[in-house]
Amino acid sequence: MARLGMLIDLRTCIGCHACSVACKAEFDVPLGNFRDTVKYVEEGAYPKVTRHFIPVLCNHCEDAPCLSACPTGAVVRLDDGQVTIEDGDCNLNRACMAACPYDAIYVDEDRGAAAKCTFCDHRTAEGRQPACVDACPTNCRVFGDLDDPESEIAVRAAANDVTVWKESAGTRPKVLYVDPKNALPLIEEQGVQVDTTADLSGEPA
Amino acid sequence: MNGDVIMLMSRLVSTEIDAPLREALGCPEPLEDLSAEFCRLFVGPRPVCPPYASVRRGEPMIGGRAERRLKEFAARHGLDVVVPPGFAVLALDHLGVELALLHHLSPGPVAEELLDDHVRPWALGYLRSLEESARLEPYASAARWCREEIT
Amino acid sequence: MSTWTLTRRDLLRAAAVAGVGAAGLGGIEVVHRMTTEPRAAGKTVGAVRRVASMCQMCTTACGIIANVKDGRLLTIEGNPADPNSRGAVCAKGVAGPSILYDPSRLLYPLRRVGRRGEGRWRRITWDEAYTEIADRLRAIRESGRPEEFAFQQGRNRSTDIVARFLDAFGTPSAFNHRALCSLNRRAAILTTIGDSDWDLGDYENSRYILNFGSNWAEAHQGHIPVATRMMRARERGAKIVTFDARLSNTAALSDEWYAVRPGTDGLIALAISNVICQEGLWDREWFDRWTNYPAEKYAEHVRAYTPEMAQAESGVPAEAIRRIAREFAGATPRCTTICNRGSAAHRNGFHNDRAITVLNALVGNMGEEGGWCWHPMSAWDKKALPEPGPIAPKPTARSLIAEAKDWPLANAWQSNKMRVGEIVYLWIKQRRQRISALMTYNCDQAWAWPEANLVREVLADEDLVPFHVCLDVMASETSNLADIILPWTTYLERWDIDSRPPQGLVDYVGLRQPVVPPLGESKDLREIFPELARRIGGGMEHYFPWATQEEYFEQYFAPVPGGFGHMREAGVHVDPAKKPNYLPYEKELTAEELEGTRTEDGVIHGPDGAIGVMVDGTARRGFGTPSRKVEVHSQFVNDRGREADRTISPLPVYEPIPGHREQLAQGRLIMISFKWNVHNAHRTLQSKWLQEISHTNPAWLNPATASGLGLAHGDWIEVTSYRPIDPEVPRGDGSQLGSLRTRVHLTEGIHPQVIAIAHNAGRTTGGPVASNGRDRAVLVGHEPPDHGRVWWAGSLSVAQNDILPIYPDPVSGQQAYHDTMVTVRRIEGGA
Repeated sequence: MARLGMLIDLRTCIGCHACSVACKAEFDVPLGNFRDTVKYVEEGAYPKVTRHFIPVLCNHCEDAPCLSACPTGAVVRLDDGQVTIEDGDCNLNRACMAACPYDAIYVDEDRGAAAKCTFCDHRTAEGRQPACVDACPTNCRVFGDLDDPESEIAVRAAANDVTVWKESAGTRPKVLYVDPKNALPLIEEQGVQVDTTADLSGEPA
Repeated sequence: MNGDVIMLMSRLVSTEIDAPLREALGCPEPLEDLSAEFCRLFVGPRPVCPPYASVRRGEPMIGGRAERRLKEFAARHGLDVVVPPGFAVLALDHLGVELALLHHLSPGPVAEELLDDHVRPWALGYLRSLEESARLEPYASAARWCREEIT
Repeated sequence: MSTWTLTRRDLLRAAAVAGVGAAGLGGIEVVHRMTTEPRAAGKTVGAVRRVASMCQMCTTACGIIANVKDGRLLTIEGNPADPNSRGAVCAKGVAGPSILYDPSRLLYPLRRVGRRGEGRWRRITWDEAYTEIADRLRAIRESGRPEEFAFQQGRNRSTDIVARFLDAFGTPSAFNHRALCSLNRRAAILTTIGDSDWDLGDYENSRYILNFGSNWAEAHQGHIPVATRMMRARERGAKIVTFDARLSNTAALSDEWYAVRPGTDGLIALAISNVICQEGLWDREWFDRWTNYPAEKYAEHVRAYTPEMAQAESGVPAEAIRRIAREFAGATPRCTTICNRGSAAHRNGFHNDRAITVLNALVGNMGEEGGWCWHPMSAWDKKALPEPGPIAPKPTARSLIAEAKDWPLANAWQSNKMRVGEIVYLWIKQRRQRISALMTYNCDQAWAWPEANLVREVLADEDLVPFHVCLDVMASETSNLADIILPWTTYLERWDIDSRPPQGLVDYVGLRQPVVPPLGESKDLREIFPELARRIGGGMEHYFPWATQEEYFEQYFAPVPGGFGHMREAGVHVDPAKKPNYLPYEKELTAEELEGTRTEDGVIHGPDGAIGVMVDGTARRGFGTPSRKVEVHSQFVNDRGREADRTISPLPVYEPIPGHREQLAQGRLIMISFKWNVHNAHRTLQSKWLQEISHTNPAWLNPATASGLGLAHGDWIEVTSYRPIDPEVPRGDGSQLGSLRTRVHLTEGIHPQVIAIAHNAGRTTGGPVASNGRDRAVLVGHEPPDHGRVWWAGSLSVAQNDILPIYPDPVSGQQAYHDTMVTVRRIEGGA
């Protein structure tokens, strides 16, 4: 049994969205729903301004609120710590969605079930990396067993200051970030789902 | 269900009206105009009514979930389809294919399964759009009759 | 709607008469499988096949592996064997399936019905299409004026077959997009070092990188190969400084970003050079040995370009310029510059890139590990892998448009086809060259070109362009103005030999191969051109003796160990004996090489031209310039200018953009364009996965600027552009050009005198996704609820190119994309 986690080094994320699209392709994620994406946030005032790129996904929390909230037992923890949703047991009561502080869960209308990132358990079972990790061109994501001190993720987690998204939610995420510029607090109010109402309309008023 | 209506619709969304069919239908429009209408509706550029369940359901690609589900259905029942050369059919979730399967299976419980699980969820709305969008007969009326047959 | 309506009785009678119910007319047939065991639901058959190939979502051409199951492409990942991309691909690369299986693809040959541009089409067979096109082209060829057949290409990665066909036909009218892209950078580098037109900084091993407006994190022809190396360098503590008018993602990834006024990059480089000279931070010895201009004199030349002057013009603080100069020189030889369209796509871009290039010579980092490097091959080793014969001779006919003689450096290096793409349609309109047939290939000039409305006007005019064939994957503004549309295969369904300038400084060769069979009736040029050649005849067919494309590539790849079979397996080949191209100019010439040569003014001449130079008594290879040294001073460009009645300074200089200072003082803004990382021109705009990430392009404005104009975030504005005030530019009379309506996006990440609009939106045709639903013709059948999944439909999407003036740099012909002056005014509600 492993304690699978992911480390994302924000120093080398170039914001390219290869992870976002790889996830869409891997799971056929419907348009408008997101298991993984990259948040862009600007900070500062001209001319001292920058933009941060922050990949986000389900945190597979140690204290997963979705798991406790699900009344039908559809949200389960796998042997290696991944939190997943069993389609067949989901009755779309949406309790998990309400409980998740990361807005990481959506309704897949076609499948009639709640859905989210699985840490690609179908790939890791075959010894492969999750699709987003494989797709990352700069290798800013490291996936592995946090309990194995020899693993790259454990080594990098030990060698760097690591932090988590929304620590105050108390969910003990297993997605860790190297975030020297302190960007994560800037997306404290955001979730994995993209705000699909934020665009300016092209229709003349 | 009238099989002739189903098969005529299957053909109309899959390929152009040729001279014999035009004559049989009694269409007054020249073949070229009918061909242009076929392109405008189904093939493009910029098709107005692409006859694919996947497109209708807003999937990113032709032959996505909708085709996979239909393939599973066909495999489960040991069915396969043969599309004649020249037909503008790229994936099995094409309305022409679904209607051909329906015609083949009707009447019976498997036809009902096909209708309920695969055809009706998108084709009723689709045929209504087609009826509204078609500028030339027989597309509008055929869409209406076909919709009535499968409702 | 026709007045005739079909009654149910008609329909039933017809069905019965025609026997469609009994499949008498030939319908889709249902058959029972021969298998006896029905398969369980949910189980797919067969294993995943992994096919190595090359991406072409942009021109970086990264190595990919396609995962294919039961004939369907599932996913795409990077090919670790590719030495350039090293297993990495970007979002565009991963999104390949969404292009391949896009429901709006062009998949059947189409002939227009009715007027050109009316949008009515009918399917035709390939045989009909071939016959009509071959008849037209044969008549042109037999008329003795082959140049009247023009070929317009975008970013072509099938150069061998295109050149083969055009040469065999005998037309020189091959129009490319280079002047809209990289012309100035290439011209500047060729002028300075001769060996190459493409710098390949050794970024991964560098400690200090000065970036003049290149956006390698999002665009750039070396996109992912460069970006991944930059990140490795950062991990090792390298510093990246970016000058850019806009906070690009690259600027955001840099340690320092300076917002510069567009068109001042060269001045900044000259000011940095000035500090380096004044403070003696230079590698004077290297400069004196390896350039053709004395360091003292160059110091004298740049003395006028003070940091204070640069600050006044560019906005970069003088103190920062001084510090950066010291840091850059202090890191040599492990320091380098990088630049691209940010510095080059200007009216003064040639000199900007010259100044930047020479800055490297000043610190002696040229060819050094971690320094400013290059490779003599921009593609694969063409001596080791020659194109299979017979090769057609180059055309003897002349094309006034392709030669573009008004721009002295446009075709100064004949092996590098540069040309001045933005003037093609203006010159056709002015009837400077008669066009009888135009074939457009992988290009959407009617949307992507400056003054795209002029392109559309010309393409719509059957007098100016009597016959237009368009070959593309996607419907476009250009295909809309064709007579025949040929459905092109995507890069996932076709063959190519390909490779890019090697970022690892060792050349390589790659294979693009079909990962699935072509969808619908789409075909590639490699099938179309040989067939057309056979039908046109007259000897053309002689150059296409191969029965299949595989046969051709078997021959092409025969010199690779393991041949074509190995290429199909691995996708790429690198000769393990080759070493990185460090310090190539130091190489001593052998006695054998020196045999029969003569030395004149230190330059060693062989029978086919200069081959080396005497340096401190040793015969060395040197650089590929006339002097065999780094040409800080280029008599060549000066002479070429004089021949065309243009003054081209032999030394890098700063020439302010004419009219900018005055117009900025009047409150006008400089309009620039930019590209998001998930898009590459029109070919990606139909991908729903990519559009979902980036689909809208409001105008970026600095809050201070907006407040001065009384504008808030989201306000509707009218942006009005003006032609350059520039007698050396066609129609450079400063007159008003055009207007667009858009909305304001406030950001601190932009220079206050700049308005920036992304060009990854604003399609007017091509399907509901590409056009954000503004393509009204399409929306009917997609109306909610079904269209609802495309949640961004209706968001702001504005075409910028119509109001960009045709603005060639008078020296080279490079389109000055970032020099357009505009006024901005608030309008109510956008109506």
